[in-house]
Parts: sequence; C-alpha cells; structure tokens
Amino acid sequence: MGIFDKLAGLLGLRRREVNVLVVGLDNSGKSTLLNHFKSEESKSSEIVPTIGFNVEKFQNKNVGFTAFDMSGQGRYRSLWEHYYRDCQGIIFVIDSSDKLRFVVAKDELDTLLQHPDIANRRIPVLFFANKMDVKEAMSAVKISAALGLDRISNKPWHICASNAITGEGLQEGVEWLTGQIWEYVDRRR
Amino acid sequence: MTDAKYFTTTKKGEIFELKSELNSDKKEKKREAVKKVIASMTVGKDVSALFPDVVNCMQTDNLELKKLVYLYLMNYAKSQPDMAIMAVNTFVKDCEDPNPLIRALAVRTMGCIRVDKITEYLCEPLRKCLKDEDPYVRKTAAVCVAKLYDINAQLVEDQGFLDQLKDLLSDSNPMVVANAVAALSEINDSSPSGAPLVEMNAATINKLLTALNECTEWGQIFILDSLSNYNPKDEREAQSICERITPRLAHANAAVVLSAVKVLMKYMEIITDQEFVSVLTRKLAPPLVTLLSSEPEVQYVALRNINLIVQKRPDILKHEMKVFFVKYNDPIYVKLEKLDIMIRLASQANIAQVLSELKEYATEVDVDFVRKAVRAIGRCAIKVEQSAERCVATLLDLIQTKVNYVVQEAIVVIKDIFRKYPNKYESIISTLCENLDTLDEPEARASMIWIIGEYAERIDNADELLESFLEGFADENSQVQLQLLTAIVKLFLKRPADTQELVQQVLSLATQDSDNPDLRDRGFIYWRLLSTDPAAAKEVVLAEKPLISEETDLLEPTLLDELICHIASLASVYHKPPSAFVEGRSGLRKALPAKLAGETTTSEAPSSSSSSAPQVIPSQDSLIGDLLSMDINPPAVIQPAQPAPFGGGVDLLGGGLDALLDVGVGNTATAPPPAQAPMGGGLLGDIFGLAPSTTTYVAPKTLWLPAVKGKGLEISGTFIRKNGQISMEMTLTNRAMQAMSGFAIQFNKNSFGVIPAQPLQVPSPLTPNQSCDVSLLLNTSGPVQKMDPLNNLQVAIKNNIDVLYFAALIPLHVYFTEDGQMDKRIFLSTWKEIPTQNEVQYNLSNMTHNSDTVVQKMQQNNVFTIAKRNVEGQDMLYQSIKLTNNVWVLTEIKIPPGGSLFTLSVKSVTVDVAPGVYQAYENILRS
Repeated sequence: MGIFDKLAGLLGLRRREVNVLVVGLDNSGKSTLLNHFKSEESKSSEIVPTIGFNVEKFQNKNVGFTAFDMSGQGRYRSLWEHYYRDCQGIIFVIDSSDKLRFVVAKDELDTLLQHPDIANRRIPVLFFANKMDVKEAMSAVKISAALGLDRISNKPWHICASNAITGEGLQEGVEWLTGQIWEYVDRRR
Repeated sequence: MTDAKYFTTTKKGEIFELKSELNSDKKEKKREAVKKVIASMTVGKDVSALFPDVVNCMQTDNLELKKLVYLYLMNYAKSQPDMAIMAVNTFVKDCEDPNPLIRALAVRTMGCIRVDKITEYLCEPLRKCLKDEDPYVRKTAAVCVAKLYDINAQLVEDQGFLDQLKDLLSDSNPMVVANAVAALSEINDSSPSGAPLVEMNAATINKLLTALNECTEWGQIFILDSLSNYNPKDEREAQSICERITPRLAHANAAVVLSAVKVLMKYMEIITDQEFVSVLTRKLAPPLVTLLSSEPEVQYVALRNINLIVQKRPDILKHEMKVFFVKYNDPIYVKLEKLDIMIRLASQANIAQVLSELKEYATEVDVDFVRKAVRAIGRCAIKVEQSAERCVATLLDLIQTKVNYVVQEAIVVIKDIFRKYPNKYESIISTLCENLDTLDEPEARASMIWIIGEYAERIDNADELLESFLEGFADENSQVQLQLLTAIVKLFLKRPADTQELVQQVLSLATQDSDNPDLRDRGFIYWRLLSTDPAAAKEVVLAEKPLISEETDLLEPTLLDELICHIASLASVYHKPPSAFVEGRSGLRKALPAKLAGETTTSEAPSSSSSSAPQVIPSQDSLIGDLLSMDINPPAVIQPAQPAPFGGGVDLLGGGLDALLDVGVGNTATAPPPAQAPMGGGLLGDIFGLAPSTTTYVAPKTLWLPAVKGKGLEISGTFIRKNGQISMEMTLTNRAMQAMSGFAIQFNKNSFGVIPAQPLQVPSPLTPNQSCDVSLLLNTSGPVQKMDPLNNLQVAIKNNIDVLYFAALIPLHVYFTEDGQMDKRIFLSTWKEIPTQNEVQYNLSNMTHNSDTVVQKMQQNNVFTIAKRNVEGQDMLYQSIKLTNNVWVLTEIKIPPGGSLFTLSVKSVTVDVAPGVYQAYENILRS
C-alpha cells in the first residue's frame, strides 16, 4: 500500500486536502502572505486588519491547502485555539523588523506549542521571518535564536526569510511544508 | 477512577460526531452535518458547542450552506459573543460578494446578530451596502439600520447612518423608499427623547408620494403611516397630499385603506376649505363600507375604527346606516359593535329605520345582543328627542312580550328616559308596575324603585309597592337597598300622612340592621334631616335633578384625537392609547394637528386684550407725571422773579420736582405745602418763608461746613418748623473742580432724638460751582443722647468724594409743639411745684414790642400765653411751651410800660433747656 501511495504521489495522481493555521502577531503580514497565493483576478489590492478569521485556499504539488488566516490582534488571539485541533500544519509569521515585540511573539509561540492540542502532535511548524526587505530587519538566524526555536524538539520546523509583498521566499517555505505534510500524513497512516 | 468519566464520555456523543463531520473534507458531508446541526437547533437542543466548527463552514461559495450557517449564527451569536467575532471577516467579505443575494443575506444576518462587540465592525460593510448598486441590497440594508439603532443608537447617529437613510428616501426604487421610511419611523418611535430624530420636509414627502403608487402594499402602509406623522406646513400642502392619497382608498388591502383613512382624517383637521372637506367626506364613506364585506375579523377591526371615525366626524357615514344593520350570521362581536355604531349614527332622518331594526334585534335569541338592542332603543330615545315617543312605545311593546330579560332591560332604560324627559311619560308607569314581580336583577329592581319613588304622588299604591320590596330588604343588593331607602323617604315627603310607619321602618333597617356604611350613613342623614327640618329635607331629597346628557359613552375628546392618529393599529381596536398596553415606549403622544387659522385667532385674543389693558388704566408712572405737570406750574411762574442765573432756575425746578415727587409717592395725608420746595435763593426763601402762617420763625442760614473742610463742598443751612414738622433746609454748593454725586446723610445721636425722616435727595451730579437747595424732613423718634450744648447736632454727609462731618445748632423753637397750651390751674400748680432753683432769669433788652405783639408773635411759634396780669403797671405774661420730648417749659415775661428791657423767667423740670428757650425768645422777638 505504502509503495503504491508513494508511486501515485510521485506520479501526481494523488491529491490531499490539508488545513493549515496561519498565526502571528498583528501587522506581521499574514493576510498579505495569503493574498499572494490567490489567483491574479481575486487578489485584493488592499489588505485591512482581519477581524475574526479568513479562509483562503491554494494549491501546491497536489496538496490543497485550506489556510485559516487568524486575526493577530491581541484580544482575538484567544480564538486561535479553536482551530488547533483540526489543523495539519502551522504557519507562524513574524515581523522581523519589529524587534520590540519579539518577546510577545515568543510568548504567543510558547503558548501555542504548549497547548494540549498541539504539544503532543508532530505537526510541522513553518516560520516566516517576514518583511526582510525592511532595512532594520533581523536575519532569520537571529530571529530563530530570539524565539528559542532550537528548543523545539518534537516537531519539524523550518524558518525562512520572506517578503510577502513580492512573494520572495514564500515558495521555498511552502515547498518545505508540503514535503513535511506528506511525511506527517504518511506517518500517521 | 472518579465519576468524572461519566461526564467526559458524554462528549463522544452526537456533538462529537457532528464535530468530526463538520470538519470533513467532503463538501456534501459538511452540508449534511450543518443541516443536522440546524435541525437539532430547531428542536431546541443546545448545539452552541459547535460554534467554531460551524463558523468554519461559513466561508463557502455554496449559497445553501451559507444560509444554514447564517441561520445558526443568528441563533447562537448572542450566547457566544466572543466567538461571534470570528464571523466578522466573513460578513465583510460577503458584503463585497458579486452576488447581490449573498450581499443582502450578509447584511440581513448582520442586523440580526445582537452582539455589542461586533457592531462596530459591521458599520463599514453596512455603509457600503446602503450605497449598493442593487436595490435588493439597499432595501435590506435600510432595515438593518433600524435594527442597529435598537442595539446601539449612539453609534448609528455618530456614523451618519440616519443621513444615509434619509438619502434613501429619494431612491429610484420604491421598495427601497418604503423600507427606508419604515426604518425611519421605527427609529423615530424609539427615540429616547420622544422627538423625531429625522424630520420630514416637503421635498421628501413629495418623493414618498411618488413612491407610494409603485411599491408593495406593505410599503404603502409604511409610507402612509409616516405621512400621518407629518404636519403639513399649510393648507394647500395638506390638500395636495390628500388628493394624491385618495386613490389608495380603493386598494384591496384593508390595512392600506385604513392607513389612508388615517392620513385623511388627520389632514382634514387642518383643512378649512369646507367644500374640500365635504368632497373628502364623500370619498371616505365607500371604502369604509367595502371593508364591512370582508371576513368577520377584518370587519371587527374596521368597525372599531369606524366607531372612532363616527365619533369624530359623524357626517362621513350618516347616509350609510343600512350597512351597519346586523346580519343574522354575524359573529356576536361584530353584532355588538355594529349596534354601537348604529346608535351613534341615529338621527331624526333614519330613526324609524333604526327603531324597526332594533325591535327586530330585541326578539333574537342571543341574550347579550338582545339586552344591548333594548338598551340601544333607550339611547335612541335620549339622543333623538323627536323619536322619544316612538321609542317608548317600542319599549312598551317589548315589555308586553313578558320575556324576562327584555322587560328588565327595558325598565332600566325607561328610567333613563324619565330622567331625560321628566313628567312626560308617566302614563306608562302602570304598565311597568305590572311587571314588578318579574324583576330579579338588582339594576332593574333599583330602576323600578327609583321610578316609584320619583312618581310616588302619581302612583296610588306606591306605599304598598315599596313595602313589598321592604320585606326582603336584608337580602337585596346594596344598590337596591340605597334606592329603596331614598324612594321611601321621597314617598314620605310627598305623602307624609300615611307613610310614617314605613319610613321609620326603613330608617331603622338601614341604620340598625345593616352593616353597609354607605347605607347607614345615608339612613342617618335622612333621619336627621327629617327630624330637624322636614322643609329642608324636602329641598334636599326632592331637589331638581340635572338632565342626563345625550351621549354617555363617548370617548374623551383628547383620547379620541389621539386614537384617530392611531387608526389602523391595535390602539384603535382597543380604544386605548398605545402607552396603556405597550411597555417601554415612552414616545410622545400623537395629537391631531391644531387648526391653523381658527386656533391661532382664539389663542391670540386674550393676549391682545391684556396688552391693551395698560392703555385703559394709566400706570403709576403717568399718574406721577400728571401730578408733576400740574404742580410744576407755581415755580415756573415764579421763575422770572428769581434773580439767580439760569442754572439756579434749573436747580429750583429740580428741588421742586424732588419735593413734589415726595408728595406724589409718599404720604399725601401730611402733604407739606409747595412752599417747602422752592427754598431757593435768598429772596425767594424770604418770600416763602414768611408768607405762610403755619411756618414758625426761620433762622437765617448759617455756614455749617466751609468748603475748605468739606473737600470742596460747602453747606449752609437752617432748621424750620412747618406744619408741625421739623425740616432741615440746606444749601449745598460745589466749590470743587469735579462733579459730586451719591449724597447721603446721617445724624449722630442727639438730645431730642432727631433723625432724617427721608433720604437726602440731592440732584446729582452736582457740577462744579453749582449749588442746590435741599429740604430734609426730620422727626424726633431717633435714639436720644444728651449733647453739649443741648441743641447740638452732629451730621455726617457722604458723597462720592468722602464722608464729611460737621455740627449744627438746632434752634430750640423748632421743638415747640403745637399742643403746648396748658390749662391755667395746671399751670399754676406746676409753677408752684417746680422748685425756685429751677428758675432762670434772662434780660431781653432793646425790645420794641408791647405785650400784645409779644403774645401774637410767640403764639405763632407755639408759645402759648396762659395768663396776662398787670402788676404795678408792668405787664406780666405767663406762657407755656411743650417740647417734642414732652418736657414742659413755663415762662414769665415782665414787660415794663414803654420800656425796652424785658425780664424773662424760665421754669422747667429740666433746667438745661432754659438757655435754649431764652435764645428762642430772643430770636423770635427780634425777627
């Protein structure tokens, strides 16, 4: 069965639908990031702060992503947890120019990772060190140190610098996530 | 293991199953799951735990699924306010969906979610939807504004939605206009201040009228309702609105017709053109009649409204009596209502028809209806005087039927007829009495007893009849007991001879055996009246009774007017104002518009009469003015004689005015003569000072305050006694370089208690080098302190510069009172009583008088000569003086024949006054 699946996967016959959760502080670029994956005609020219959540769908290599773009504003972060249970991947977006709030981002990340619905699952976490085009942006390495990413041991994680406006770096991250999801799903089988 | 497992395991029930299904990848499965959730919700199961999962399904392009999720949201958003936030983004997105159905759905759902937290996020999408290109979205959004206003009124006002709503009134689509009107009316109704937040104007009204013809029936109702709240600015506008509304009367929907009737009824109040009103009146009748051919429920509503309309404007339906005739198959509630309207419409023209109808009704089977019919006959008799006879005949016919309840009801109404037409139909009393035994209802019995009592003198066996009632007195209803008591007292007063026993019986029953306080009290009153003054009792008990009014069940006019404004609503069916049955609405009471022309004239009438009042009765000011112009003449005549410069003349006038003002305003009883005023220059002063006999000796003015000490103010003056009053005459001269004003005066305590009797009146400002004469009345009621010298007076004068002090000597003679004449014997004894050490002798040298001139001169100054003796050729005068402080002074003057040296002996208990007295003699005799 496993061999057959893999074969089918390689041949591009098999399709998967996964839910990914897009979280991060407000103004880190979540909605902009997802906007980039939209088809040309449905792209919105203007991104406003999300209230509640937003659902976007996009495709990558036979994987249909249903991305839940959550509101990053402080008072709505408590809503994230309703989606932990049913997601197969997490995208955590960080504003790499906002040094001041790294601690807040770390705090939210820790809360997320310690949540019972997340802690015991080997769920892939993709970090986007967004806004790399901004002059005072920190490098991905520094950010991973600042957030203490090396301490995450039970989950595959990856960090890549990105620019959501131009789409730079996004593809790389999503490629990684796709690969991880295949692995994750196969393992669960 | 704890018992907790029982609770944890339940999680894996239906909810858990649904949850996993909701999160399924398969769209069909998802939709099925949401349907299951909605089904559970509808039957009342709590599926609120699935909120996040259901909301996840929200973002879909499947309209069916979307509707289901929205349905779920409306139900549970309230219980999960935090989670409801998650829906916000979807709403925002859906409001921009290309499909107008989805946009409208989103905005409708938004309005139904009553969660404070998310309302602010919904403002932006709502604003967009109000401007949407699709009318369906706009009309939905308009209603959403009203919903939002209910949740957060302040927000709606701040966001300017009211203005947007107002803009929608001029929308091209009539449905949008209708919904906007509906929303605005609702907002206006719930406005906390009661005042409408959005006022209609002529332009918007015009747009509404245009939309009226094109929109659905419910839209028409909304528009008509809001038109009824509008007050046209003039009659012409009202007329044109009426004309454009009139076609609505032909609408098939009863609510539209009634709403149109409401608007017309309201506007007819404003229109004064009688012809126009009568045309409208004619147009109103057919639609109302048509309403009566619909199903009974609608008929009832129509009849309740017609009841109001008929009370307000009876002429609308006066020719339509026939349609209110009861049909055999009408439900009872319609029958009773029709009967009511029939009576209201009854008039001389149709009374025959009505009576024959009513007589028919009285033979029906339904007891309530028959009773009401009988009552209606009585009311017709009272209302239409010409028909009274026929009504009574009809009632008698009905009594002949001997149907118990008909007879009883007939007797009750006949009592009313008797009260309306006293002494007219007594002939039927005998017929009534035949039915005495059948009466078993208290009201009928009481009525019958009242009739017997009232016409006791015409009924031969009245005493027997009443006695028969008296047998069961204790068992009767209190109404009957009271009536019986009164009737027997009446009977006694009319036929005292043979009913004494009866009246005593009833009085004792009422006062001793009854425990009803009303009855007891009335019994005692009658008893006392009869025992003390039978004539008075007759006057009280048999007094003329006021006739009963024509219509007793009319609504109160203000209530009627308010209800007219609520035609086609529940209020007009209940005949109660909405505030009586709707909670929490403190909205302002509607009232019919005041008649524009008629009302204003009547309201202005009293105000114009009050404004003309001052013209009839001259005010105090002009009275004083009259006095002034009258009395100012004497000084004006004297003026040329005055040698003073022109300024002095003005002063004189000023002084005179002041004095005259005193006369006018102050005490007129003591009226000082005009001479007091013009004490101007020396010459004038002399003329006036000497001429009147009532004025005593006037000492020449002395300088009291030199200008050097008075900071520029120079005061000279003197004291005079005039008409029994002391006054201080002063000349104030301003020697300074600046004007002076604000004069006031005060005295220190002094020997005779002299104080100013009036404020100092100096014409101010006193310009430099100007002088003025002031006369200040004094009295002697002030505090007393002995001064040295005795007649010293310390004065303080204040002006705008400083307070100035000076002293003035008051000549004693001004204290000599007019009642100083002493009886001779008292004089003699007093003279002897006063010890000789109290006698002081003075010499008056160089006198040119003889004794007669002395007597005369002193007399003028209140020194009274008691006796005159001639001793050894010398004239001896004995005189008495009384001072204002009741000190008596006795004097003796020796006048040698032809000599010039007089000897004055002054004797008084208080010897201190002697020098002053001497000085007075000196001054007076030398003047």
